[in-house]
Amino acid sequence: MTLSVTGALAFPSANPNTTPVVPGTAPVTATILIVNPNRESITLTVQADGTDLVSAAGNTIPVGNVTWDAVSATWVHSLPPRNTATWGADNGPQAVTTSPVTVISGNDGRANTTTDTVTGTVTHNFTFQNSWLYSTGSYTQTLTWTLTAL
Amino acid sequence: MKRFLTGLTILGLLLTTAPAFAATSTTNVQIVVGADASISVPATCSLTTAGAFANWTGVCTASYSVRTTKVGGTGSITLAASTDWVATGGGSGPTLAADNLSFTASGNTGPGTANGVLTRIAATGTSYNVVTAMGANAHASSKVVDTNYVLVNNAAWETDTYKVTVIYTIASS
Repeated sequence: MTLSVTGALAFPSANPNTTPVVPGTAPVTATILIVNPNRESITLTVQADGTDLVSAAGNTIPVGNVTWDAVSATWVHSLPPRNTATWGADNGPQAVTTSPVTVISGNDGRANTTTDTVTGTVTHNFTFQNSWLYSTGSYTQTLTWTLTAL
Repeated sequence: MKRFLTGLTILGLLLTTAPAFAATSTTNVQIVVGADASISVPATCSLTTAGAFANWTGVCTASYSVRTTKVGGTGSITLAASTDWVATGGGSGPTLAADNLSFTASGNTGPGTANGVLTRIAATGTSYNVVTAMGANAHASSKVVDTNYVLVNNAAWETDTYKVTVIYTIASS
């Protein structure tokens, strides 16, 4: 079972009057690969590693100004399964926090053989609350996604 | 007592045999905040006179927001007439070259210094300072500055309504 997520999320500079909410340049996709799924309960969470995005000059923007929204989720079985995988409802939009927040939950179904796989894909759109009050700079922070299967 | 201990042992086995898996992955988030600015002024600012050839006067309030670069940045507001005076009824009236349309700036609630010196708008296409020296790392939202216009009256003008278009420009770096 593996989890891989889009490695970079960028928000370009924009005029707060004309673009009060800045969309990310591209969606963030979480890809879950499970070999021999056996009806495990799947949960995907996201959290920020720190309270702020921080610039090289030390200025900060609270991570709560970044919002995620899970907009689609799919499962694809390598071969017809015994039980089809399912996702629950997409969560969001929600502000990023430093505590893990469930993005989506589901069940990975059940394979017919031990070599069959199922691939889950969850797509997230991100937005950023723009403001004139931010100092110029390039601000960074890391989001950590956690996949659990029980 | 023996029965109690047995019960605990069974529970422990159930907890340790539950299948579990966890994996993590990360996304690096980057937000770029650059210098920017916006300004708006009313579509029309009217000048009025008390009569008896007193000067025509009026105040036009510009609203602006600005963000300048943290190190070495600055910003300013200028105005320029993009047309000469135009008579809506074809009358013969003021011109920028021959008459005195002037302004001062005041009441700036944002960064920088308002131009308090009476400044004549003598030609089209020439930019005149309204606010200067906003400085580095200025960030302000919904600030205002007044432009106080004065047009020296002239009995030679024909009665009519006269208009001049003034363009405000805000710059930030």
